[in-house]
Amino acid sequence: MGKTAELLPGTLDMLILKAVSLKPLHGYGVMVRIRQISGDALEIPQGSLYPALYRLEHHDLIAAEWGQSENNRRAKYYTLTAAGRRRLRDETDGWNRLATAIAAALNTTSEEV
Amino acid sequence: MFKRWRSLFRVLTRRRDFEDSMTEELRFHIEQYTDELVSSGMSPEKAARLARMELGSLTNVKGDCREALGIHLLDEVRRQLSYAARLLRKSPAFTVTALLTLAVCFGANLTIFAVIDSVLLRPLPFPEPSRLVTIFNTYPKAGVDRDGSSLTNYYERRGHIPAFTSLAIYGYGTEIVGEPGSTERLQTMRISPDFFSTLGLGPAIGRTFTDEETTSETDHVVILSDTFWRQRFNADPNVIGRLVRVNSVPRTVIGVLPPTFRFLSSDARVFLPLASRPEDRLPSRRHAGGNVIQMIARLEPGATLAQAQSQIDAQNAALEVDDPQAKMIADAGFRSLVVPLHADHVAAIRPTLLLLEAGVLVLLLIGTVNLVNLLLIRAGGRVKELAVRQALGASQGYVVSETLVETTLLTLVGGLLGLGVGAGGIRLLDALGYDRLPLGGRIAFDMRLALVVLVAALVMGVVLAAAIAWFNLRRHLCNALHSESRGGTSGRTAQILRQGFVVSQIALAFILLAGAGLLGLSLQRVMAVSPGFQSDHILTGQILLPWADYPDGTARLKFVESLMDKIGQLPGAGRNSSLCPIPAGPLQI
Repeated sequence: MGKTAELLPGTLDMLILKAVSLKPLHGYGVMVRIRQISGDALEIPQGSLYPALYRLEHHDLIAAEWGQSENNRRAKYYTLTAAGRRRLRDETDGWNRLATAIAAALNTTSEEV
Repeated sequence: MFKRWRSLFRVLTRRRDFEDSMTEELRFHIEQYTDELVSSGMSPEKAARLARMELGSLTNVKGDCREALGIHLLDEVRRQLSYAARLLRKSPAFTVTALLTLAVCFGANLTIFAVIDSVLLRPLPFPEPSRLVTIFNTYPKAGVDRDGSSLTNYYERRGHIPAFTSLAIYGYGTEIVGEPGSTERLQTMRISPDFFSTLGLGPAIGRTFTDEETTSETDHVVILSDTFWRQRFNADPNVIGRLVRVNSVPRTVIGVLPPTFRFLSSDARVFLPLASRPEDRLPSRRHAGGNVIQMIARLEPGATLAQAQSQIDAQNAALEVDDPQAKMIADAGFRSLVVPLHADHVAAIRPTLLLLEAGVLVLLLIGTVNLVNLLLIRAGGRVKELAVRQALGASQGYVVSETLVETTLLTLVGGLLGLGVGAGGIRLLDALGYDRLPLGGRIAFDMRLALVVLVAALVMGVVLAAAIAWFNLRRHLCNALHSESRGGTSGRTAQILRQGFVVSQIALAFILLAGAGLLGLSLQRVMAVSPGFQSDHILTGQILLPWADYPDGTARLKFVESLMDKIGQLPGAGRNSSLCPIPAGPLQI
């Protein structure tokens, strides 16, 4: 396992939305998927994963349904709703703008000032 | 927002399902993680332990999940409710006293408020009732405060006062209605053709009267109330054109009123045209009102009472110029007053009702003070318990919310009992004959009143909680632990506070007692005023003879003589029985 980064506050919801946007996932799957798509760089705190999932479902950004897991066990699967898709797009745009701005600010050299 | 409420509702209605599925989901997570750790070479026991540790305490995670949905607050309230109910059950003497106090206070207030609401507050059942006014002549210097309006007034004002959309007159009466053998003496109203259009509510079937039907030769038409139509015609939709005998004269039915129609307090079943002769409408009859005919009008949209009043004043002044009696009329202080119809109709009863309302509000205040006192004594007994709990970490907010839940539970249950008492009170008013009050027929117990009481109960719960919470949090923990320990006396301020409440409670009770006493005394005085004759052992009754059957004085005299003869033969009737108008009784036409 490589070096893991601390999750910035507010980014957990965005990552969960991204994870379930690719494919319906159960809670454990969301955790594995986030680890995988971040190249093992992001480790989400397991204690806050489920409250976040419940909150997103409560706000109608994701929908839940019971189904069969890969090893034939009952598991609760989450999918993205239309509202969730919109929210993911907005958050992605916002994040990209922020990241670009911060990168530009940090790359400034003394000649450019 | 709506979706969020729906999601919350779904969770709350299937609470057990929610908890089960949450447990299952978390167990699945732990097992998956354990499997993953085992497959990477860890021993099963160690893997299981690590998986549990990574997720953290299950209780905490579940709590966070519930919090994400906002249901933890409801859980908390439910827990506090059951705690409060347990506490109240543990001291039945206190609980019963408090609930009885609340039930009586809320019940009395509900009953009186029901009367106030129906008489003073609820608007008249017509479109835009605030535009309805009544106009009456007054001659204060001649000792006549109210003389109704005259036919002349009506014909002179109709269409000549720009502030009025329309203007109408009416008079109350009683007539003998029905075929010979099955007659009934019914309340009736005689009305001008524009009466219904002024009110904005006319016949549901048929038409209203026309101007041609206002002479005694052409007035053989009648409009029926819904009640009369149902009772006598079995709600026959083809009633128009059928005949109804009024005072032995057949009249043609031309209209039926809707069931909701009720003019002020009148219970009129039959409406007749207000017929008159041309000589009754002459200027010389302008001041011949005699309080028999009343006038109503509808203000133009945007017109004010003051505008209407000044226009009426101006017209009166212009008309009086060539009146031979002008000097006498002016000396009598003649004016025609324009006043809102509703306010005018209830003007006499208004102060009495407000006094009653003040009385029951004082009663409620006494009840509240009494309750605060009881609650304070109870809180005093629990000071140490609360101090210990606070010392162990209970937050102030928690203590306050616990008090709030307890007092609100108490007042809400009291409010519910009060609804029962109030409903009984309204029944009692019924037995006492409240429909003789102006607009009294409208008094009824409805959802709106129930809601007012429950909101009042809620507010009272909050007020009581504020008082008790203040008492609980005001003191220092350390002092509380010392002074309220077994054997210690209660704090000085606590004693002063309780005594203060007792004193104010007694003071309030005296206000109420003195008020009720004064009312009783003044009633006794009124009853004790001698009417100038011996009123005991005298019976009264009213007889109405139809004109058609008793056309002249001789026929009527003959009837009276034979009646007197029969009364004289009755056992127990005095020799000196006689017929005459009752002094101080209602004036009959």
